[in-house]
Amino acid sequence: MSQAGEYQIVTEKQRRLPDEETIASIRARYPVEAEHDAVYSRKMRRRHGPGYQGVTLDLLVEGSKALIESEVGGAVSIENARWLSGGASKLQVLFELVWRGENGAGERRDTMVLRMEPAASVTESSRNREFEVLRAVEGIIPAPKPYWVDADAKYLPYPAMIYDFVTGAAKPSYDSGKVSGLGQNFGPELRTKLAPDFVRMLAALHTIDVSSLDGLEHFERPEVGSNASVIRQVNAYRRVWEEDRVEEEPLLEVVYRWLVQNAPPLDHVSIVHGDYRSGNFLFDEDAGRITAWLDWEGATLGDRHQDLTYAGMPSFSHFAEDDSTLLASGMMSEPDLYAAYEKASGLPVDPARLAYYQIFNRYLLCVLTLAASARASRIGGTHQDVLVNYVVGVGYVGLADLHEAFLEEVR
Amino acid sequence: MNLDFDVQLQVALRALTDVVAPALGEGAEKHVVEQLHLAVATISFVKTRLPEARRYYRMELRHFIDLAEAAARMTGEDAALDAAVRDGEAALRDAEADIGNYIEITRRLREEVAALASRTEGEDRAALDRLVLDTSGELLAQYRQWALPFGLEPKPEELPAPAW
Repeated sequence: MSQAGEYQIVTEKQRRLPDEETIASIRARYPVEAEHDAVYSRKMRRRHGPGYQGVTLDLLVEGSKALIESEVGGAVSIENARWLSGGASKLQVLFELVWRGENGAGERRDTMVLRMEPAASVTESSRNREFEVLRAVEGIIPAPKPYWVDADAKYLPYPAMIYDFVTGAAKPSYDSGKVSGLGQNFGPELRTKLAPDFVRMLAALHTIDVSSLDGLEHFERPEVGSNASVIRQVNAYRRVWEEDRVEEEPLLEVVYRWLVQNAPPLDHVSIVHGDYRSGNFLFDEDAGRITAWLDWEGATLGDRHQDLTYAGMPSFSHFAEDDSTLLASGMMSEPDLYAAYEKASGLPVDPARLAYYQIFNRYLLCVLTLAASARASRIGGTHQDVLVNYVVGVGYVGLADLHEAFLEEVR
Repeated sequence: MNLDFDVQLQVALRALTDVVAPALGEGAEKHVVEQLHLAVATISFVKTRLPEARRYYRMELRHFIDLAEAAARMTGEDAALDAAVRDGEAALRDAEADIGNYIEITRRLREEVAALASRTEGEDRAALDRLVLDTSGELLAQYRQWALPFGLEPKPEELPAPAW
């Protein structure tokens, strides 16, 4: 039987068409949260099926209608369905729902979004968790209101959820050329307006009292004073690396062992967005305010320093007009971000934990680009393989950045 | 036979940029336009790098042979690693070896080096980790140089010149 942390060579054939023994061996070597385990195991078994098959709008409308009707217990109609662009990992359809509302009071019309996984994804994730965390942040952080989830693909071709449509732009009207908001430059005027929202909303998210929250059934509850949940998270990415990579990168094995050995205990449990950066929020350009946070699929219960350092990753940053100040998510310098966050949240920013999560997030980014993205495009698993493949290129910049940051940390 | 690769890619690119892209027009769906631009970027990458691929993959294989030999010197004999090194040296000497051979052996060496580091303990493991860290920097810069045509580098002028 394989042991936790044990290294074994997995062949390309085993990754491409994994048998149950291979799946069980990887599960044993990299223990993770139960929901992650379920999602990753499903991903591996799905590799025996076809790659992504193009789906029609009609099929998705039919599945959405069946899901909604089973949940509300009455007939509804869906009109004006059309594809919604944006994002590297999910298919999205925008539509008008004619129904009687949640309390059945009277006919109404609401604009909704169907968000569905393809056969393989840049980030293989749980629709249950995404649904639950969106419920948890309602009224605290602007985000789409979740209505229904089809976590086991009972009604739709792949796991999906439906939430309401939120308005706003993902990119400024004058600079729309960045893929997925990577390195988005908002310009000095707009960023001055958006930055306070960026900090205030992060502080609000991290100070939600998690202990009093119900409805997070698919999240394991971490304990303050323990690093067990941090190690489970590291293992989750290590498991993705094991299951998806095209080739080994010895540097990543060195970093993985370091992340396990140096995992800091939690001093406070926060809801962590997991992808808090430019490109993942919508904004009102005229008013200069953030209107919604998207892409909650990587959310976890954990350490606030994960989000704080993620926002300042080089791939999501750019140089200011002085050509020397690196702006985290196009907002402000990292020191300014940390200072503003401490003030807004009342939570301390710990340099040692910052240092740890700087490495953690760089490791995460390498895994998602060089393994998950590479595998998803290689097996023809998505609706936009050309975009997912392009993202792999980001991984090489990320790998060099990880190497540099890790050398600084261990020397 | 004059169906050389460069011309095939060139004509495909011209069709996409000069004919297909303008035909999409203002009202085209954003994700369609984005996929077209990315398809052009991907084919441009291949067009640029294809003539250099053999030299690149030989360079990468050479790096991992050297790394594996250094790792073996630190820890003593390792049958799987030694066999992969021998196969790598043979492939580099073989005039008929192709890119697929180089890639396959390089991948074996990558796995064997990581496996060796995980099997060792104490000072040997620390030394191997140090070796990986110390020798990675130059190769990682070459990966970035190789991926340059995708246009993802914030300051491409700061990268070292290609070593392949």
